[in-house]
Amino acid sequence: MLTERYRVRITEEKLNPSDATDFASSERHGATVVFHGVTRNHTDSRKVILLEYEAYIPMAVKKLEEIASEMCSKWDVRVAIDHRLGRVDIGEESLVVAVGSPHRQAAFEAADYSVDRIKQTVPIWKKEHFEGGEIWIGDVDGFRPLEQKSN
Amino acid sequence: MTEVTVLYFATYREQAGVSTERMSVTGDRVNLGELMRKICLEHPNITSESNKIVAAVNEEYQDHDHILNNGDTVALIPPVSGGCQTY
Repeated sequence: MLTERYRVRITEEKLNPSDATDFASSERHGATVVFHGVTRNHTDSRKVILLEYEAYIPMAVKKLEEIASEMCSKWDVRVAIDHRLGRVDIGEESLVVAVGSPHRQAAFEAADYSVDRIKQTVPIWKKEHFEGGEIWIGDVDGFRPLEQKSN
Repeated sequence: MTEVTVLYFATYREQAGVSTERMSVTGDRVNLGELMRKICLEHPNITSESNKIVAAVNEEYQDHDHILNNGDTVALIPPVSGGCQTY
């Protein structure tokens, strides 16, 4: 039986990083790199209260799978990517990426690559609720998903 | 006549005041750019210029010269969450 080398999840539940880590682990591996994207209590001088995530779920799953599949073709890795939706309080994870590999360099490189790609192409949006207001986060000038496609 | 389903998310959903609607554009070879112009006329609260809106057709990003088919699902994609200083 062919064992999948990656899995992706989008959920409103609190993320469980050890679950992603377990998926990415293998007896063949000498390294597991786990990235936690966490709600921070400030943006510049604004005091952040919480973040709220929204997704175009079927397309977001498809894009996350594409990224995980790209990682597996570029490096010898196993990959788990979990993204949370809805309200995410300070200190809680919105994104967990676990990458396991026989050697640390591939695991670090693949994890770094995945977070950049996720931020470029996956249709998930974040609303920042801060003291005195709220704002959808995004940088129009930096958003070029079609150009990224040709990488 | 080309009829499609349009999905709005995040900023665009709030500006348009709807999350999904059916929309028809007259003509047989209607492209994505023409639909974006119609959407911006019908939803003047959408502040982006129509030619700058990124959109996906049936869950894939497409250029504005992409020709639409009856029954397509078109999603307006605001800049995604990581555009600036997250994480």
